[in-house]
Amino acid sequence: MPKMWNVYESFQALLEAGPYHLAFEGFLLVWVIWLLVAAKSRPRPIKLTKKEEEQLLAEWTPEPLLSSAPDPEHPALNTRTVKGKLGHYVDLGSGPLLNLASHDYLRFSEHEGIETAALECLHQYGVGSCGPRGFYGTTEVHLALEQRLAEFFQCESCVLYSYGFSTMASAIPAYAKSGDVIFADEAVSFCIQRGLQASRSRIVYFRHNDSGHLQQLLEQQAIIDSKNPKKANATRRFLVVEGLYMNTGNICRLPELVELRHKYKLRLFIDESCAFGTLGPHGRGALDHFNIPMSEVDLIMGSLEYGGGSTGGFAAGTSFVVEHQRLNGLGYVFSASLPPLLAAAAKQMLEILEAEAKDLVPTLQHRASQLHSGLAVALPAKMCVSGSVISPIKHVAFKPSSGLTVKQQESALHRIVQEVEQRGVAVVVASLLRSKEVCPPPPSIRLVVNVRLTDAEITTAITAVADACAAVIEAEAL
Amino acid sequence: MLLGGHGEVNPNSSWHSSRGAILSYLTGVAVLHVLLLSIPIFSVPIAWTLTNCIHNMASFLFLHLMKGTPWHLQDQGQARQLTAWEQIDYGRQWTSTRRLLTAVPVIMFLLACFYTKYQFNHFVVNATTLLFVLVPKLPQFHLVRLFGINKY
Amino acid sequence: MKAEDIINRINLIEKKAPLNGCLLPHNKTKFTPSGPKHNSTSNSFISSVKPDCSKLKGLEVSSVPYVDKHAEELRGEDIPLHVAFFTFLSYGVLLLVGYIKEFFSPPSSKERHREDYVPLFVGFESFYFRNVYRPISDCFCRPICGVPGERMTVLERTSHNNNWDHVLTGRKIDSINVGSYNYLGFAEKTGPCHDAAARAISSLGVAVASARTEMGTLEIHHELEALTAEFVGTEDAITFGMGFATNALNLPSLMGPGCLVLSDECNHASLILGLRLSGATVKVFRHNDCNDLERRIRRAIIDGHPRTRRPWKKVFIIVEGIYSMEGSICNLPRLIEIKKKYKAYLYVDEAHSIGALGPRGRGVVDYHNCDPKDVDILMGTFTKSFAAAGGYIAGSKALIQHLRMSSDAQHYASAMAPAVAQQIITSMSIIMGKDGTDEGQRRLRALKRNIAYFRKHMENRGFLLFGDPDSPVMPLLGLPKGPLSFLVRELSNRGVASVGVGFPATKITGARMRFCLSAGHDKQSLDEVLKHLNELGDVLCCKYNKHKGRADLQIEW
Repeated sequence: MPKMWNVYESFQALLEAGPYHLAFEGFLLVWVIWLLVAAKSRPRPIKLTKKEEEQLLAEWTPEPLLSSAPDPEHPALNTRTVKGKLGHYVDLGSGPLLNLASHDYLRFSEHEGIETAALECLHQYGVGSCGPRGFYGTTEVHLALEQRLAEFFQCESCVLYSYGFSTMASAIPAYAKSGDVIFADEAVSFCIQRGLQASRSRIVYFRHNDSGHLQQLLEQQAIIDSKNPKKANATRRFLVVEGLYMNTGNICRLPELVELRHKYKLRLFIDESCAFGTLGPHGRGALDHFNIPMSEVDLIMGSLEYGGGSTGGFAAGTSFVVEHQRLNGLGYVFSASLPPLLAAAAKQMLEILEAEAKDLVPTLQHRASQLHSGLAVALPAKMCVSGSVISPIKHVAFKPSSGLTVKQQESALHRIVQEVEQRGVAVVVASLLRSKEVCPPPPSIRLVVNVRLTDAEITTAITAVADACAAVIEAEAL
Repeated sequence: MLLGGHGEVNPNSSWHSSRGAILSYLTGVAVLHVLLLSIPIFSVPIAWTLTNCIHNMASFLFLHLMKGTPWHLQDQGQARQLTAWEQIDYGRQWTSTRRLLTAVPVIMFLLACFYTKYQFNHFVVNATTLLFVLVPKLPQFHLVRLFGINKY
Repeated sequence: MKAEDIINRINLIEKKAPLNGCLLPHNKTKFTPSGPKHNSTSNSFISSVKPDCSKLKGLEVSSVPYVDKHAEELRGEDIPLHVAFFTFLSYGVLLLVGYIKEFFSPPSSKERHREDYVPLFVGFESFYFRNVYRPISDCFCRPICGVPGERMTVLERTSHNNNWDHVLTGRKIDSINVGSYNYLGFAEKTGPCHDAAARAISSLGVAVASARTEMGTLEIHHELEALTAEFVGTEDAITFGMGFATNALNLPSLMGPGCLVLSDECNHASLILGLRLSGATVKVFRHNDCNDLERRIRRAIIDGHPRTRRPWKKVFIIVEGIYSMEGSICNLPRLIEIKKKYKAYLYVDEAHSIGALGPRGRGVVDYHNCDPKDVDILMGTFTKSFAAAGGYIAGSKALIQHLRMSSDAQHYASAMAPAVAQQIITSMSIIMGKDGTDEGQRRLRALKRNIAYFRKHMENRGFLLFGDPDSPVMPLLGLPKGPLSFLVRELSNRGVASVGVGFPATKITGARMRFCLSAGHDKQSLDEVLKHLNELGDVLCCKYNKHKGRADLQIEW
């Protein structure tokens, strides 16, 4: 049994303790008293008088809220308004025009089955879901759509977002954090750029569709990593590409990227917004087109607003990767869920696509190549059409050798669009925020091919665009 | 952040100043001490030294070794490289939470010395663990990693 | 209600909050931002004192005998100390159990086909999810089938592997809905809104596959924007397809590096993300504390940029109309005063308050009887009171034109779906009375009546309800996370669908249950909810309100 402890003995020991001990304790005691008692605020280096402060406040003048008066001629302030439905033909106030502007590649906007599905859902669920997914905003329709999308893309799991832009802008920052490295194609769409910016990682852009340049950059990164292996083991590396690029119409070189991914241990995120329904024998996108299994890719993201005939977006992949977004995808957790009627429309679209992809997709690609070859021949020498031959997105732009400034090209293209409209076809200048884009593409007119175009309509379109270009070039002596 | 969407970016920076946090902490230490005292083979000085050591080691582990947060944050990984101590009040030094958390081990050391009757061997053990806990709390050691330990 | 009761309550208020006409000094004790800012019980029998803004225009703060009911620290209750202690104890136990469990059986989920890769996630960051969130994850993400109206059908789920996966059992529970944001009860599957939306789908299609600046602008979008501007009382408005994106993508167009933003502590994630993307310097002020805001804005303008000492380009104050986690309403008159005095710009996010506050339902500006032109940027969402989706920003014509030219969403994101736009137009017209009926006024009155009735009853029975008496969102505090999850589950078994939120979404001692009332709730539903809450509150002993009234007190419907 240990000895009983005695207070008196402790006090005696205090008096007999060595001086080092007492000095140490004394110092600590003073420090503790200072910690608990000293004032919290640091004294300001210079204390201004009240009068000086009031003077500073009165003198400070902020900039006006808006840096400059808006330009009334700006195209964004003069957008055309569609009267009625945005269908195969569109009415901008002067009669029906052939619609080569909206992204409805498989013309689901006019498919009766989809409208019926949306109406049935409206009769059951109303319009809004009145809450985020975590708080009673999850309906059977959302769960069913997520499951169908996962099955369609042959993935384990899928997460449904309520806005196409937010899908990419939320999915990327959920995985990539500060300290990580992301290799991205320089022509990625703006929503991906916003996602990259939000992630706070180090972004390295490689030349558009140039796997050689990507490999060079990866080699450089590997050298950096070999100098500091500990840091390299804590740095995630990502590769973000699109299946079909919205800004150029090119299809990505997926097999080469997959090889690089293997070699340099990257995580591949692919945005299949434009490739969904347009590439591959089953319409599954670039993976399907190149017959690459889903295990080669970490995350398939996409918007349902282009080929999907609805609103919203999705992110599909393995459960391990995708389920993370249910708690950490900002656009998923903190936003109201997709209105059920739009989810029902998307689900119906998937079913139609699965049943008819083997007819729809080849037809679309055939139409696209018709338009492409027609334009390549008919356009004036100063202009060219870019994009893959089978891609439904074409960009008609001035060649770099034309010698025009960006502003001149933009105004010329706007005039071309007006001329094309007079010839019965509706097209648009690709809308860009030039000052905010990382690598803004040259100004262009975007033509969108859809599956219901007939031969005659394609000929009309080619003639209209080519004639309009020629007319404007001649009129303005460009 | 698990659902909700409001509030601060890193809850780890301020939960210590919540109502009842310090009380719970001190209660925990008191309970530990009482438990140790109740074991018959430990004398009072040994119980005090043990309390002091266990408290300091646990404090070092949870405040100065453990990095990051037990949740995913919206700050894009900036708190991953910071220990829990460095995250308190977003890195501002000498806030009241930090002062209190610095004062507690010191007061415990002073009490331990008193109750161990200023014996030299107890002093060495207590002072060593105290230094382990005090030195990382100094502002000069903010974000310092010695010998690359715990850096990544 | 007897007259002497009313007089007693008035006396109580005056004793607690003397109208001495000056801003009381800020309380220096430990601040708990989740605490209420006024004594809810005594105020709830009398309509709140709302200062008349017209007296304040052009006058200095110090010269007006001004009662700032938010800065006045009407000492409300905070959660009791023993509850806070038990909260920490429970977290300590959970942590300990979690550590021991994971020491003996480490988490085993591994990625396939990715050996030798840097792990995608940091294992420690899922610790809380695995050990604290997962056991109660059945309280969240509950699926429903049918309209999220005042009653809804919740689908029952079960789990065979400790809440890692949930499966539907097939049983449907008809529940009273106090969890969805359906303040004016427009979430309906019949009625004028539904009919108009159906017509919109048939005539305009399901969705618009083009951006607004390209080919995506339909006539219905112009109609919606004009109506929104009229509703809110500004010159012009611009709408977007998602409320979250409205904040996140438009704040970068309005502010940039070199600007200072004073943002409330409890601002929503969309505002925080938007501010981060904009690159502006952000300073946070205490929740709803205008004195703290004034101190900080003063200090910031005097000192300039902390490193370069250059003057700020612009100063913004960003607040919300109703904070849905706190249930508090911002003090708009005082904010407008501060903004004018210091030449700042005011941005008010009315996600929850538009449609739900104010005699005409026009939001927090209407509630405080202020001039919409005094708020530089009014933002709101259509998800809550209009039962649709999307968001808007309203302000001067020049501001909206600037946003049309520079907003990310206008150029890159698809336009709002026609059915959604039509739902907003119809519901907004009803609120404004443009449909020729007084349905809108009826709904607004019904919402206010429901709020008053529910709150009075809850406080009378002793529940700790925070937030403003006029807010349709009521947080109930006083429960650690375990009892909270029990309450949510038990209520759902009894047919009440409610929402509980805990740490880290709230403060560690601020786990709360949140009630969102709707104009569609009738007396029977509210009585049933109150009955269940009363019973369960007794079981959980969570009635900490010191101002418990008499159990038999008759409260008017």
